[in-house]
Amino acid sequence: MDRLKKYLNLYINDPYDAYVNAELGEEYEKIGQGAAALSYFLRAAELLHEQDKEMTYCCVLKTWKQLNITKRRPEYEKEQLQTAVAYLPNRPEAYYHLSLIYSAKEEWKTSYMYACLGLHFKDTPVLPYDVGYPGDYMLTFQKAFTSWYIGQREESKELWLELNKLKNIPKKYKDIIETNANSYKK
Amino acid sequence: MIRNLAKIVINNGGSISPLIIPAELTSGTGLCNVSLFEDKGEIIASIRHVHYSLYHSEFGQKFYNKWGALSYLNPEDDMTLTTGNYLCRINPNTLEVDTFQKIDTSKNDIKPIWEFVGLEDVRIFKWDDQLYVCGVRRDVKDDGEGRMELCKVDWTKDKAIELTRDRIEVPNHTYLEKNWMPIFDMPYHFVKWANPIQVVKCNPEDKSTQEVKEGTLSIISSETVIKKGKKLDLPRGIRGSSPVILFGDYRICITHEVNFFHHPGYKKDAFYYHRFMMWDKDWNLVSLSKAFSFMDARIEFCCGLLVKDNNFLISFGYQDNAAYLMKMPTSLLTEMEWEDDYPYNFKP
Repeated sequence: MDRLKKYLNLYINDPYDAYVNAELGEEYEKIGQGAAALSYFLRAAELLHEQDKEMTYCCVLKTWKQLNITKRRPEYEKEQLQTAVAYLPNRPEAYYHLSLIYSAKEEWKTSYMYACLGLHFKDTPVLPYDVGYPGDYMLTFQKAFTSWYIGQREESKELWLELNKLKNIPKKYKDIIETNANSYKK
Repeated sequence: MIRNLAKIVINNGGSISPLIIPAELTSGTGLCNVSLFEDKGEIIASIRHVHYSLYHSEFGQKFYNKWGALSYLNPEDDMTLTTGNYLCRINPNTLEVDTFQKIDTSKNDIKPIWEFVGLEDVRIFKWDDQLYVCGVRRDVKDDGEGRMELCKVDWTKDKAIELTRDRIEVPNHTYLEKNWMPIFDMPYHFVKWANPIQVVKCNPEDKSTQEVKEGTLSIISSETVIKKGKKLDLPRGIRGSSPVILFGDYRICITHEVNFFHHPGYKKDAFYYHRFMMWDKDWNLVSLSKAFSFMDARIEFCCGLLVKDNNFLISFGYQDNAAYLMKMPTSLLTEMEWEDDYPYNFKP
């Protein structure tokens, strides 16, 4: 609460400081107050949209993330990710989440498309705040996963094997990668 | 216009506290429109929990979502805008929420048949030593007709139960009655309109029932008991907001007004403003502040006002998404902008 109050007071002293708005949003997100976080991240995005594209993009994704956590707003989520893509198409994070949305719906070609689009923009600097993007490897993961369903089984195999060589992947993903990669070794 | 009253307050001996109900209970959706009451020295509050997050792209409006620059992000599989209310005890030192209980309304609930569900913008108070919440309910008729409902609440350490629910009917039919401001020192009286002043009295003993599609409503009557003064020429209509409280020899409240407009995308948008308004005991208007905002947001709404130890305690919602309690030294009324031509002008 102390940090929340600190940034609340900083906000009040300058409501047009976009970075303070974002910090206040982040403090609200940390305690699960997604609606309040949405307010301040959206405000930050609006204040910055002509000055700091990466931060603006990050804040737009934060407005997606709050309702992603709340759940039951799928249309909003999809459109907010599309808003982020439209604003800054040369970053991978929104493509990754769009790929996830479509693979959950078993719309494999669309999911594959977004994974491919995201991979065009890998190795970009990390965003200032966490937007649920584990790393570029998860775009490869999505591409490996979806390519199997759209008839690109050789490509899928190569991608799982490529992923299996990577280090420092969280266990929950590593287990899936190993299972798929090992199935090709038999 | 003062767009950021909170800045004046925190830089002149006041403070502001966020009011939080844990996200495990709210899914992180909006907390707003807090009302306050002082009960035997203890500060109690009602916090409105809306089951949506408000999306308001305020500035260049570059980031419309599917529904525009201003939209309610309710669950897409439940198109209602549903409200619940928490009763809270406020820590007198931090002015944060100490304890809370959601009001259990199940005893009086009937199946809602309109899209605004629940008791909205509740004010909490005691009249004749009985704890009440009073707000507007619009979910009992299929046209969304709204009436103020006065509800007795039994609040103990472990629970808050709505015991009774009386819908306050008006003598001549209207579509919507809301934001009546309870007058704390006058039981069963509300300021219904502030420009010009119109005080109504509800009659809890004059009970009747009304059959509606999904059940039976308990109705109490109301009547206008004071109506005086000339309508002031102001740019927007004055509407109720906080309760009306005693302030020295006067009664004071905070009102709100709204400018509805259509943004460049031709969808509905809104800008809310507030004012301090003060009357003498005979309901002559003696002071009227100019419009102000609390924290420089376009959508803010105040439901709470107390005087405690030479401070105003003012509670308000920010974009329906966040709730705050501000402690404002009463001496800072001199820092407000005031309309001329009223006898009690706080200008130094």
